[in-house]
Amino acid sequence: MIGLAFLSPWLLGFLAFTLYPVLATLYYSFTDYSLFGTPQWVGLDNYRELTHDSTFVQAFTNTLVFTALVVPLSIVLAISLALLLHRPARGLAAYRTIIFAPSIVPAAATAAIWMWLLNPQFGLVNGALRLFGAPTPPWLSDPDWAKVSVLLMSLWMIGSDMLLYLAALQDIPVDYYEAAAIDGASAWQRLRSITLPHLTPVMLFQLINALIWSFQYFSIPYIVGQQGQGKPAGSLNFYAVYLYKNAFSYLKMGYASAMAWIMFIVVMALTIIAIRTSNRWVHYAK
Amino acid sequence: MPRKRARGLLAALVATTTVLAGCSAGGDAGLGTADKPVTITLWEGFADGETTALRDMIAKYWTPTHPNIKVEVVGDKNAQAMLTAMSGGDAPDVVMSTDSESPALWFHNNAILDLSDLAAEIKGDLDAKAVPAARAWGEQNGKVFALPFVDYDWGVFYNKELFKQAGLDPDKPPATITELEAAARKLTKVDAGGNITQLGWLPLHDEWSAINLGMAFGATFVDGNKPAISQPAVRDAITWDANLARSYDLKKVAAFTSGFTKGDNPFALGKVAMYIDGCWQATMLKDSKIDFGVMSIPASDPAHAGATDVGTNPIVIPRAAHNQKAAKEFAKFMTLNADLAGDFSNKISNLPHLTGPLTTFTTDGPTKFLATLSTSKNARAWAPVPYARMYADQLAAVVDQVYNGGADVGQALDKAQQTLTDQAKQFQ
Repeated sequence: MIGLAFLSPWLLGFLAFTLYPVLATLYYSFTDYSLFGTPQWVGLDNYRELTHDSTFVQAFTNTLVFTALVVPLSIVLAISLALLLHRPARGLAAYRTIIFAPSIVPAAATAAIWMWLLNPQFGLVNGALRLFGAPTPPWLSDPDWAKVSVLLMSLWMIGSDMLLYLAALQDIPVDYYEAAAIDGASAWQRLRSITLPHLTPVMLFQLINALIWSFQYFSIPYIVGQQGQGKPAGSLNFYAVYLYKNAFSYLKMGYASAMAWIMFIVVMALTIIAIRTSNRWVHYAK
Repeated sequence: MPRKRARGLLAALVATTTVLAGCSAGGDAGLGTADKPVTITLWEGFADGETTALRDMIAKYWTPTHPNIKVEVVGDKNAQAMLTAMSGGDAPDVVMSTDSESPALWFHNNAILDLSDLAAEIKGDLDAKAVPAARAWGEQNGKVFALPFVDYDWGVFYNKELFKQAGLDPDKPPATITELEAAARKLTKVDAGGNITQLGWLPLHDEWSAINLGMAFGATFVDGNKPAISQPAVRDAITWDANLARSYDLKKVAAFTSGFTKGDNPFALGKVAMYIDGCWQATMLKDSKIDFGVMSIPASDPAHAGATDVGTNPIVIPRAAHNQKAAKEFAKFMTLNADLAGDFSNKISNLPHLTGPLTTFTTDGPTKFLATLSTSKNARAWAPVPYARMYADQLAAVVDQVYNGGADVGQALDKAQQTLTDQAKQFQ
């Protein structure tokens, strides 16, 4: 009992602020509920309606495409930057700070800065491309390029992931590299057989984190898509944005809860796949 | 023994919960007394500077005559925060909605009080003084649930210098759609590479520009309580605007306009000669070096002249408010005090919701013009229905599909009509 009493502040907090809301949303997903009044049981109606909702399908597809792009790219970029910044060089601390700094910039500020940089006609990026005679993409005005723009903004904030890999790199015993060098292993062989396997636990962590994060991606598509309108041509209509609108603009809390549970199931399924397959590609130091 | 301890623990928890619940609930403290003044909380969505201005206004106009009711103003609250508070047991006493559209939905869902009795009490004053258009946002089926407080409307801002350069008379801006199109073509400049360097008319870019141009074509948007987004007037307005934009290549237009944000208004940079915007721009543009004028949106027919959507910052009282009597007294004061309306309108670049000789309101030309426009016969609340927020989003989506997705205007509107008809059924 004494143990339970010591545990009770956390336990009560967990029951009241995590478990209860989670279970409540499951119940609400089967109701017509506006946040006010009594929820009315509608069975599977919310889920059925979602299958006919073209805006939901668009939001789901956009988010899947974004996830498929941002998750692998963020892993590759974070590892590449960590490898670069792991090598001894003059001004290393400054480079690390420069790469890390964007990750602490608020999303709203990131969106504003990049919208200015990526202005197709007057922006600095296209201005620079014009100087070299390169083609100038319609970054924010074309549906496909708008996704690429949002992807760029997300990858710009990769600093905190890079830091995890940097820590993992510093944890790899130097002996392994020395032994490999004696055996005549090339740089590529050392990377492939020593470095990357040691980074796989962090990769698994980043993979799961990035999956969850990308499905919940909100601030930047909300701002760049012009206050949740998903512009241009619905290309920035992301899952979390449409969920938010249903919940708080339209007061369709039951419908939004159904969306939240679909998101939860998809993310959970992808996470289980990642964990189940991890014994094939994640190597833990023994 | 352990069972007894568990019971004791449970009892302590129940007691604590009850005490905490008691702390947050509280009863209505009435109108307060000199010895025991009541404090009400007001939540609004203004930014810091505007919230400070509102506090100053309350201190200047309300506090001297109502020492027994103190008002605590909490700003920068978004709709999510307001709804969460209203649905819990600790709602603010008064809420100033961040948009005109939401209170009808809140009322439909029983989140805010029916203020019909209060409105009946001040009906004479409201009928005599209040701008009629904005009152519609707080009324549904004969019931009143929101009171107007400083309004806004929309006009066409035009660059006088660019008019002169194009050989147009800045003192005689276009009054009809035909004249608008002719002026827009004269004012548009394209470089040798086909890139637009100056736009005569900024095409529809959001729901607000579509709503107001639609009204200038005679759009009513609702048929009773039913949505009517695919009506001919809306179709004609978007078709006219899209055809004008297409003549310069939609991709070129999009490349020109897409990078501009609220912070770098292309009109303020001298890149656009005419565009639809809200009354607040009349103040904001003073910081630019643009010599500008404001006109009502050119109409497709003289019968639609002076059309504009009039919105307000609706005052509502949550059903879960603790001090409802004091809150009603405060709401009544805020909606009827003309000096405060004029003074605060100046501070936040809005328009008074009360008419008559407002000594505290600015005499600045463009703002005065827009204030007068808000009382014109074609000034209206565009869609005072519970599904107005969703309606606005559908309209924005139509504009997006047509201008950025290459969709046909009629098909996009028909699809939106179907969606809105389905969603509006629950409100009929």
